[in-house]
Amino acid sequence: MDSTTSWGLVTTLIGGVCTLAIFSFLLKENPFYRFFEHLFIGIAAGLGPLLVLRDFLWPKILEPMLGLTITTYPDGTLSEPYQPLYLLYLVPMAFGSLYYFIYSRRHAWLAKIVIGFTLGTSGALAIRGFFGEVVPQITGSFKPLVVFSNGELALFESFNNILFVATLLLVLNYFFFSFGKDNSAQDGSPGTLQSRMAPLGRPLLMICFGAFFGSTVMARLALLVERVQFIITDWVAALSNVVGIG
Amino acid sequence: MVTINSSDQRARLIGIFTFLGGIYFFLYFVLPESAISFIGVKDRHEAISNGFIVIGAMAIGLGLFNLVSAHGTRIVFKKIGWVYSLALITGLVCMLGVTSAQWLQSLALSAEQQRSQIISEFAQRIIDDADKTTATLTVPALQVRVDALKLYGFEHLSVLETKLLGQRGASSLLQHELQKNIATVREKLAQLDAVSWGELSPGSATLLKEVVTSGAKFSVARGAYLREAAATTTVQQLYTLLYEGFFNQLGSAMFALLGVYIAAAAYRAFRIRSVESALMMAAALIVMLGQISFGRMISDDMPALRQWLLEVPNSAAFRAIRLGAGVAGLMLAIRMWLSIESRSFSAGKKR
Amino acid sequence: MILAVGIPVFLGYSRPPSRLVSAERMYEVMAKTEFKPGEVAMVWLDFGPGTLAENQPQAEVILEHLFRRRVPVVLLSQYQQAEVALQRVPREVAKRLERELPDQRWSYGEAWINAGFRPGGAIFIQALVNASDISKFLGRDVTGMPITQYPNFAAIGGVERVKLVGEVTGLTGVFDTIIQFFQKGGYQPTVVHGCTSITIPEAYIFLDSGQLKGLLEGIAGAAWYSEVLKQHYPKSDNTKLLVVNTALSAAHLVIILLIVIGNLVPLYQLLRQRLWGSHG
Repeated sequence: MDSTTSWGLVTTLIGGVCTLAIFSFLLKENPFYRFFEHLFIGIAAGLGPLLVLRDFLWPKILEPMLGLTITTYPDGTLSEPYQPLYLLYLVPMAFGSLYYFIYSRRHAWLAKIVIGFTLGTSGALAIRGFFGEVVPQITGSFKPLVVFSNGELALFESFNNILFVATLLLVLNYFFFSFGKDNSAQDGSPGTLQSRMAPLGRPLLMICFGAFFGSTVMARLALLVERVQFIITDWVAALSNVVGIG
Repeated sequence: MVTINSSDQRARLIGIFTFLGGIYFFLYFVLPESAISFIGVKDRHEAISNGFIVIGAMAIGLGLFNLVSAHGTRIVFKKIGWVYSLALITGLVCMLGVTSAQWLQSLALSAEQQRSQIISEFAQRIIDDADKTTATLTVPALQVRVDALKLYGFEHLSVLETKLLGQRGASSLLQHELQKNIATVREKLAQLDAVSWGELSPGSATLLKEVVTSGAKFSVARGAYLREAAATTTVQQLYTLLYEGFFNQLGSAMFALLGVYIAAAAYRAFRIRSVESALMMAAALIVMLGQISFGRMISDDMPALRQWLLEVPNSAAFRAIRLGAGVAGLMLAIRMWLSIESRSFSAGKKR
Repeated sequence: MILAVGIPVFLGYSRPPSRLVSAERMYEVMAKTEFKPGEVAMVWLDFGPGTLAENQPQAEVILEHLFRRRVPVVLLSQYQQAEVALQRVPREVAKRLERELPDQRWSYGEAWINAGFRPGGAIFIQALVNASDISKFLGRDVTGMPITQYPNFAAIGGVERVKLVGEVTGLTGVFDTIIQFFQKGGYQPTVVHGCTSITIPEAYIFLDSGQLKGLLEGIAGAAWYSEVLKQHYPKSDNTKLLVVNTALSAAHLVIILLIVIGNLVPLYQLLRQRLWGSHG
């Protein structure tokens, strides 16, 4: 953050105060923290809607609809003729306005029409997305169990591929087929091979969760490090500037 | 007038719209490109997609209404915690106000820049129109157009130069760049006097193209100059204050609290109580030690071990999870689209 | 914990980062991807204050590499809160490069353009991919200038001319949208991803399947990438990033220590009870 200008200085100082206000929660929930928390929600809520209006609705829809994108050249000709078809955007705008019937007790069902429409769109896109994302995953899972490199058996790669495929199948088995908690048959017999194999998926899943946990730690700590760095390097420097030290 | 009263009729109507919501993209995906082009949808796809986005975009006011009504009521009736609601509404109003002001400012800047763009755009239009052989074009004669371009260009550049003399705010480098571009455009416009404009010949087209190129560079330089000058205005500084001083800092700080809680949980909660939790903890330790600078103090192979763990056992297990989730997601998407999962969205009362 | 993080930052102490092979591979991919005249890289910055700490350094190293290669970059976002990052990050990278190489310039409109926030998620991306000319499809940049007015971006053409797609995000679902929809019959771009640490295990499955060609794993990934950049461009300055990475490593050590102590203490109590009986 630029603390060389007076505005930059004020921004940095306020940033530090905000950070310390939020960190005060570690001592105890307090009015200082709650005040800034509410301020944050208000600012975040104010940012979103206006950006949709500014970056999409106005330049892509309203401006062309109102003919404001047409420039008059010095010789009196127009850059483009007005396209009346842009007025068709009024239809989705009117349809989207049905969302606001959610506030009416009597006509709230009208909002469900547009919500249903949106869900239908998401559903169809999800079907498309499945083929884009999951199918390559499935084809990528077919790994050669015996790998040769320069005419010789590559033991390590072969082991990795075998482990990969085995892990994949065992975990899939664990998820898809372990419906009951007890994987043996009701009459006490050992159960099918598949049901006996299902519990083997759990330890392998634990490795995955362990990796998740190890990564999550880094994610959370990174945020803390960034804040501490801001306080120590930027905020303290800005404070010294104001107080006149150094 | 037909009224839709029964809950069955309403549920049916909602189901129809739910289906209609998905049918376009589904067909766009399954039909071959030749069929899509034949129907004539390919050229309109962008506009249709924008229409779908508009429907979602119209919901932008919902969150605002909710917040204002819930917290506004608290302020008006001075309920417990009304001060915090006042902070929320103040933040909301300030952000809306400042962002709106910044938007208006950027619209004004765009309009200014647009006046500079006209030189290059109009020159390109003259070239494009002269290439067309259609007899239905009703444009002035080439000479008239070129004269209009020169008149506009010279006038605009003079006004701009006069403005630049009195202006401060943008860096001298940008100002120098802009002045250089002004000089270049002026030179290219002056070159247009060298030929007669009865018809567009290859030579005269080249001269116009030079105006297009120099005009484009000029409008980019003008845009950079305007933006730089606007960066020091009160509106922009207020926006930066609200966004970088409040929003970014508060958001980052809130998430940073989690880092401290991780430390507390590390001592209290992460206990090894079984073989499986030991396995999990071992994997976590390998990943953590492999990704930090100090991991090499234990072994040089730590990063490689971490890499192997993530590439082989983790990828396999996680892929299995994703495949399962993907198939479940596909089923849910189909059920949602065909309104098989419609109980929550039926218009009737819950039984 | 605060001390462990604060001391390296206060002292400006840094250690070499851990070698992350995925970051090295990503460097190779980004160095070897060919860009013919008119072809561009498209980088999505989809992060806000919640993931700024990890995603911003990633965005910086990706842009630094592309800027050094003089690849024209189209920046955009699916996330509203990324608006300021879209403006600030490339500007800071350009300034840093210009300080390092005073006889060269990286200016807006030549090195990069900012197409801003584009709502619509999957709907927008699939429309972008199906557009016949991306420059016209994107329309105007955040300054209101038609993208066709910028010489390096004037006629990008179809999506086949986007040779590299970078996605820097910590948001769930956003990266998936790129993988699912940023493709067309016969065309798949080279996708590189800067992810937050939480989504590292998830991202590896895409690396394995080839849907993803390069991955930056949190701050550690960005730190190692900056080291690789430094090997090729010795004057590149990554001191600040390495200090942050070192502070992060120190914090990790505290967590590991707490986990070990947290498990040793009950173990010791259990052993004491078993060996010597319960004594108060």
